[in-house]
Amino acid sequence: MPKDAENITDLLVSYGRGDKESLDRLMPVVYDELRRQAARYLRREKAGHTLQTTALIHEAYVRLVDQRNVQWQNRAHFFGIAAQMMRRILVDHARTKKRAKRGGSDIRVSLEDATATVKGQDLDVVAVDEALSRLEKIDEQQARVVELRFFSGLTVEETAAVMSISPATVKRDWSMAKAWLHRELSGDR
Amino acid sequence: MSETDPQRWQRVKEIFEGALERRGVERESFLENACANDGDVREEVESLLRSYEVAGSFMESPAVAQAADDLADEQKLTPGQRVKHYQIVNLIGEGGMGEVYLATDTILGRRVALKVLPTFVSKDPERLRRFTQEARAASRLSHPNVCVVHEVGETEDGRPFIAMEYIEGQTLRQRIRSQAMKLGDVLDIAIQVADALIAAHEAGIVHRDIKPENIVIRPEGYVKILDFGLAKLTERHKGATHTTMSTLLFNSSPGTVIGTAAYMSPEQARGVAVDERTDIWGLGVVLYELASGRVPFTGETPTDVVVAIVEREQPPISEHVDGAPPELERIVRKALRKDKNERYQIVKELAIDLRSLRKELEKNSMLERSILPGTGSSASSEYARASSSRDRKAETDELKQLRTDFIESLFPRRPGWMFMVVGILVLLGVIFGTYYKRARPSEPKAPVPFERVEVTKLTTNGNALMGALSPDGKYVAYVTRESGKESLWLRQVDINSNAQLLAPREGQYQGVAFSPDGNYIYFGYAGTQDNDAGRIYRLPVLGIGATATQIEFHEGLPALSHDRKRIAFIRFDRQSQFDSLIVANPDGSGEQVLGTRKWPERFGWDPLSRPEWSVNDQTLILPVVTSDRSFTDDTSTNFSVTLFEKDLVGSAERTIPLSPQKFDEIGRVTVHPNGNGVIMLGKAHGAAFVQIWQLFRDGSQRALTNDLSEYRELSLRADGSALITVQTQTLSRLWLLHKNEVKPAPVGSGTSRYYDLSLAPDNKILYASDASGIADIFEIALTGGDERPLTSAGGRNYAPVVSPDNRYVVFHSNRTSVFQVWRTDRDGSRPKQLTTEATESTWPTFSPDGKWVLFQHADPNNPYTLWRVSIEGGTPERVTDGLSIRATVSPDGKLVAFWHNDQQQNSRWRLKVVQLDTGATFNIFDVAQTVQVQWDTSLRWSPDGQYLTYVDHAGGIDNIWGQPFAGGAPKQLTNFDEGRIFSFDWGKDGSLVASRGVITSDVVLIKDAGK
Repeated sequence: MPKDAENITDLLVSYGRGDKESLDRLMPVVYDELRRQAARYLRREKAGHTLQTTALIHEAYVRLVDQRNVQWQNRAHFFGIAAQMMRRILVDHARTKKRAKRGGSDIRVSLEDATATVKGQDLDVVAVDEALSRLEKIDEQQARVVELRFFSGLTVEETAAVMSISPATVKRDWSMAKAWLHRELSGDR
Repeated sequence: MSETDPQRWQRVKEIFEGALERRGVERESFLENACANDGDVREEVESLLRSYEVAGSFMESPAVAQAADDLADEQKLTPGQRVKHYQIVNLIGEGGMGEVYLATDTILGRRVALKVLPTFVSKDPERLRRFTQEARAASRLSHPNVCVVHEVGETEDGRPFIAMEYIEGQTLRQRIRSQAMKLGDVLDIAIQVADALIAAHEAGIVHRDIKPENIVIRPEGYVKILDFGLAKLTERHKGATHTTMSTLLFNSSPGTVIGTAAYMSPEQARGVAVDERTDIWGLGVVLYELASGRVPFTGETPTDVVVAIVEREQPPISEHVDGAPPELERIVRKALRKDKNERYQIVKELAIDLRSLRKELEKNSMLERSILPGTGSSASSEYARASSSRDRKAETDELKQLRTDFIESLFPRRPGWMFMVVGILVLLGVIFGTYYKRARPSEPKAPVPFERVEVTKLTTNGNALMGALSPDGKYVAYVTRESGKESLWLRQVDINSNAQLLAPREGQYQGVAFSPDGNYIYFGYAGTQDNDAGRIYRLPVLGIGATATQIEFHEGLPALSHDRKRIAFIRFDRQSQFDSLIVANPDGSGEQVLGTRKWPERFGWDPLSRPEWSVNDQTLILPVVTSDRSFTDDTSTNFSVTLFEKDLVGSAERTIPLSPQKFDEIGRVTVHPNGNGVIMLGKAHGAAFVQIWQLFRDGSQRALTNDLSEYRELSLRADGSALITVQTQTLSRLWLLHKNEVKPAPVGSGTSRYYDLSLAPDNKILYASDASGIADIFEIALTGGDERPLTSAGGRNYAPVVSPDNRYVVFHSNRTSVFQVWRTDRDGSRPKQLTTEATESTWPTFSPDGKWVLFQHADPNNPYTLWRVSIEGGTPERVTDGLSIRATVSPDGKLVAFWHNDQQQNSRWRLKVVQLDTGATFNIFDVAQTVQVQWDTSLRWSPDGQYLTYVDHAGGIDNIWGQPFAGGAPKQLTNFDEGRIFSFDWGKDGSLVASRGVITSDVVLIKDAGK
């Protein structure tokens, strides 16, 4: 456990108490850890394998947070933060790629897939993000379910636990959000 | 009513959820009821339901894998950030294969270019491995036209990086754009590229991507090729077809500048296997472009370019410019043959043709002519004349000349730069020292070479004596001894092939080394007539059957600067006891002394030491070994190591302290090529074994080996990524042979390291053992039981002897720093120091009456003379004048015998017997050559007083022989059929105890397995 684990735990606790400033201090640490974990995972993976969904965030959590002193509530915050972060990372990256593609000068684009879609899915991350932002304004709970499930890969049960709602509610929220987002993205009404 | 109206949303949500639970007619009627008259809500719910039905797997696979990928990917480094010990200065380039930063090596204080590759590279371990292998291989080329790779590593978040030489200058691409090129420049550049490729191809490395972007021209005209091995990375998958695809992808937008595609060889374009002839093609394209200002194959789209490469003939250069020499046309045509079997087959051929052309043009003063379009001359007839005179003979001569040039540029034509004669005697031998406190190695903090290692035993016969690793790590030269004869072998590491270079012969090898270019093996050798004064010989590595030539020497190995313009070496002046650091021109002229050290401070310490050049050739780094005594004195001790750095410009010098670790013995000390510290052989202060140590600039140290073996050779690959050493392991057990019996019986069941046996009057065996890493004295009953230590007061304790009355034990110990003779009670209690001289007193033995302790004492002027001191202490008195080793007193107390060497020319060790009271010589005996006398070779009077007994290695097996003290031929007293005898002693009843076992000594390869 890194030596700043205690600090992270404190920050999470105070974030849980509503101290928004602690979030600013949490983000870079969580981000760093996620990156480290991601790098480690990618190295471990054989090409073509997909990442075990939540393992990455779980591991970051275990490494960063002193679990003896943190309440379940804080764990939920952590996963919430991680999910938001993953979302941001994906979107930023996709935007960069789009820009590069338009610029036409970045060779990297041609080496990687030249679209800003999620691997194996015909899905525009930036569009998903924009639609999700609209959904947030209408139904924050649904948007958070999407964040946790789609961007962090949490299962229904995990999402329910993190959000302190029932799995049935998660399922219902997920279904509707999915339908709504799909409609938004496909452009038909 | 807006979508964002919470009440409406809530309603839509409830109805949607309710509808989802129902199907068909049921859902219809549910919707009918729920929506009542609100058609708007109903429309919304139905729209969402339709969307839900078609959404299918939409968003069902989380994007986390993608996010992880992105996370780890292309995180740009910012100025000031660190990658290991490299501090980022700024981003200097960016491309498909990651970013290039200018960075500072914070350890060496030099600038480096840091290429950080994208994460996807590291996701395919096989590809990463191949790349690393190639980059490392390329880094070992150490060719002046190849960009030096310092390190291949991984950033903290798993991106591979390459730290390489920072080259100031412009790429050939920039140069083409910025100024007109003269024919001479074109040929110069092409020749340098060809030279680099010759070296690479000989090392089995194909560049695969020769193009103007990968060729950098330094301001003074040197050409450097970048990115050896990198091209492999663009092969996204195994199978070359994909290479083509990815290469095409680089240029997928029509109208953009055609990049790599234009330099692709037909075989690359077709996606079949490539070899070094692909580089010949690449150079051909570059040459064509330099000469004509255009690439030979073009097209609107990459596909067109590929078609042109595979199918069309390039237009002659003269179509673009006037005055291209026909010979140049011919060379380019030959390099650009579609069928690789019709091309130049090796780059050397191409290089020879280019050189010939240059020479001929030189004769006709053509080199200054520009051949860019519009500025070309109309002198094609002159070119034609100039180049028509080539013939076969010229080519052959050129080849010879080229080879000579190549070799001589590496080897200054100058006798006497190799070794110092006396110094080589120290090559293997480590000097004995004495000290007391135990060292406590601490963990290093800096990035550590050899932190993880792969260890391979290269020999298994157990009879290797010494060895050296070639600079490229491909070969190991080593010496083995069998049946008293030594032979020189060459082993090819990767394919495990062994070849005997020199047949077994009498005499001793004294050290072996490769020349810096790996072409020669140097070795010190003393024939049987040489009396240990070895000479140095030189043998070509690939000269099986060749004869070794003797060479003169009085200097250390030269180190060639990266620009090949200077050499640096250490000169050892034994007369005035000065070591000097010297730089000179490669031919030996223009010598300049950069620094001196007066012994006992020494540069480099042994003749195989040489300075390291910093990559910019601005600084020389070398180790300094300091002792608290003179190096001519065998009792030197307390060695420590620092680094000395000397700037050639501005001539600033720095002494850099390393770990303060003290050593009792010290062997080879080498600067690690990364400049971070030294890697060396040493017996840490107070330790029992010589181990391989690393001392770092940050003051930390680390024992690379830490076991019960001795290490006695250290030879580093040029890039520091591997080393070989000779590991010696000794195992023995105790045996008891009763009088008149033939078969010995083991004492106890233990296998350990038993030395210095002494049979006490109470029938206990006393012995010294360093099996725990520190030497102490123990006793054990003849039955194998009651084993216990008698010393535990620190220091190394050896050579116990029990007094005839069984009251005392005497032994030598360095617990007060210098080895002295000590006495304890029989149970190990009440230690008393019997000798107190400044220099060592060792190997005590009793007079039969138990009143006197005889011992050998060394001072700088009189090595090992015999002295005696009362068992109660007091002032010692000298018994003999000459060399007297391992004295033993006859049972009647009248005679004393010892090993003696009169140190005259061709002198040999003899057995000398003198009267104890007068010192008068009683007898001197020659002993067989198979008796290997050293400073600690056992000698015991037999209990009946008839024989002087010692170990003879006759026939390759140790047995105890007896020399009748009154004269006559020696007699074999034991009949062991195997192994070595490390020590023995006789009981009063004629029984014999012996420590017997094996010494295995093998060449071991230790590879840095990276982080």
